[in-house]
Amino acid sequence: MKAGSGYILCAFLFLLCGCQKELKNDNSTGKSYTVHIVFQPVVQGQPLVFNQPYTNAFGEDYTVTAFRFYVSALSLKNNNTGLPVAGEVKYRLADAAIGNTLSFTVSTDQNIFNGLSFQIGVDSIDNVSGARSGDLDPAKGMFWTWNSGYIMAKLEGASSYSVVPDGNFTYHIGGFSGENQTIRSILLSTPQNQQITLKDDRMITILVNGDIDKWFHGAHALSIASNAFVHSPGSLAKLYADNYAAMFSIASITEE
Amino acid sequence: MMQRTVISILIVLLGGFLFLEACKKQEDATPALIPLQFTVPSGFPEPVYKFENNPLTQQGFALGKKLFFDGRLSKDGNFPCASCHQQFAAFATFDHPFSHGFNNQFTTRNAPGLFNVAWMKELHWDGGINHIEVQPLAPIVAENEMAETIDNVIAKLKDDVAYRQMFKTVFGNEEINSQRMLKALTQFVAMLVSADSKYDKVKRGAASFTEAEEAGYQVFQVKCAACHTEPLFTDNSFRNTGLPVNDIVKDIGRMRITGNAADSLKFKVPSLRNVFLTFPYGHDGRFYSVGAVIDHYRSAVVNGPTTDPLVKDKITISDYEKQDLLSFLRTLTDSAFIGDKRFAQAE
Ligand code: HEC
Ligand code: HEC
Repeated sequence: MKAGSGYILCAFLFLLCGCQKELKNDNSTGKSYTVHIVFQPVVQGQPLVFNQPYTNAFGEDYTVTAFRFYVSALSLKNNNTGLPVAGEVKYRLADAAIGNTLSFTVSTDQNIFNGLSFQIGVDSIDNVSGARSGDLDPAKGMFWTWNSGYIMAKLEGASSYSVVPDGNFTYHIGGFSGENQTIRSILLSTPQNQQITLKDDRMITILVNGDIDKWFHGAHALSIASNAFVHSPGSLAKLYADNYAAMFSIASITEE
Repeated sequence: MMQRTVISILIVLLGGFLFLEACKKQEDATPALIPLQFTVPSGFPEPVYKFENNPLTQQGFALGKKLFFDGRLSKDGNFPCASCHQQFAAFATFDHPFSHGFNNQFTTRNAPGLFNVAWMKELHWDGGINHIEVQPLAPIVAENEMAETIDNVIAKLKDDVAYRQMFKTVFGNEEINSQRMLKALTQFVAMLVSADSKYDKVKRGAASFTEAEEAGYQVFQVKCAACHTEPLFTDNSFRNTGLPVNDIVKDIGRMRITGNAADSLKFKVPSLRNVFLTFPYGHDGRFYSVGAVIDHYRSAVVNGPTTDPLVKDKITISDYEKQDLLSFLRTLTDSAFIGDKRFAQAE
């Protein structure tokens, strides 16, 4: 009896796997489509310029001197179902100061999508696995040496509203465990949730805006006057993480 | 029949390939890596550190040792790891509550001895470091310790032909990056195993305790072992043993890492192995003798919201028991470890 049910279970699982494969093949066009994804830091709709004076929603003046964040798990979506995507990197340190770190090229064998998802931050397992290289190299300045863990995103600049003596603000946002988690999954839809059809002889570029102002006024209102210095995991860091999760939107999709 | 022929051909081809590969290796004149064994002492649990991801070799260990003793890992060249972690003090800082660092500054905590680090899940008094491999980054970049940047250290290593050769031998090519440096340092630090004290010999049946030591061991098991658990003499937990806060350093311990008020003033339970070599004692080195620590447990515990239940009513220890405890704790000194030539600075 026991053995019998085991066989049935096996057969059932086998069938399930079979079905899944088939489902995938259904949508696959057998062709490969290339998609370019470009992150563009912006302030008030214009590309971010370092050291240029801006004003945030609190009327506080500020300039930006650094903006960096970890991106992973890029995926195209069709009604929230992931499209199998090839060519994505596990972790990329996107740095507003280094243009080519902001663009990604992926390919897929399916041709219809209406969304893009990705993750900001470094998974908890990768925060506790010792010495890493490449974009996770601690020499990149995105690793806390006294409280092991990655800074998921950082924004630095200056403001006359900063209470820190040198007038700077430094938001180093991290925390990977339990309730201090600052990893954020982001799902963006295409403008008007429009279905985009890929063509194998055209390359599509998805321009993703990252609105710096949202750091101060996104999911939460966080003025520079109230916090100019966040350098450890905790409840405050989480609020900033909610804010950077809200900074992204698809600005345009263009075909070349 | 047909199948067999195919297989034989494959074997011949494979053999030929391996032979060619072997020749190639020889050409390149990189000495073969000699594996090094990490032996888990009898009675010890499996180490926390996963050596599979950093296979120990004699050359990797030698590279780690060179790095450990090299002042160039610090900004002004004067503060190698070994300046604060001295072998004759079981790799603690001898006779200093705080250790000297860059620019006449001092650390804000007492440097612990370094041994059996491969069994630590969290490192530092507050457990802020979650992996042995990334630990060296903390002293390297700390302004009051080595005060250097990771990039500068890597640049200095790259400038040195001897290092380039060693990294090439250990990792297959000359690339030097922080990951490789940290893995090599870990090979040295993780190999620092101390398990050959008189206590260990008694456990192995190769020696026996004196009467006083045996009596002290009995007291220890009842009154101390809940936190200083054998065989590592720590349970690796964080506890508040009722030390009044140091007014100058104002160290809140584990809470600095977790942000949780329940962790306020908790510090990692230190191992008591080699305790007679690592004085002074406590996270800020406030105790100048083991006897003074015992007196603290007997009469000076300060109660606060996080004081450990095991010590909050103080620990009753008679003067006799104290002497016996001290006798027992002396059996934890591992002179083979502090005399081990493998861990000594190369001449
Ligand atoms: C300026 C003195 C100083 C230097 C230099 C130094 N250390 Fe330390 N070390 C300390 C102090 C102090 C602590 C305790 C830190 C704490 O708990 O916050 C410590 C802690 C440690 C620990 C954790 C031990 C435990 O029980 O948790 C390890 C491992 C270690 N050091 C290895 C190294 C290595 C490897 C280097 C060289 C890259 C180094 N140290 C350089 C002073 C120093
Ligand atoms: C509640 C857990 C607990 C108990 C019980 C306990 N200890 Fe400790 N012990 C600790 C902690 C935690 C520290 C570190 C305290 C600090 O510096 O904040 C420590 C530190 C020490 C030190 C200093 C070691 C060093 O390297 O700095 C000695 C010695 C010591 N204990 C001996 C004993 C003895 C002997 C007993 C039994 C009479 C005992 N302890 C019972 C938790 C405990």
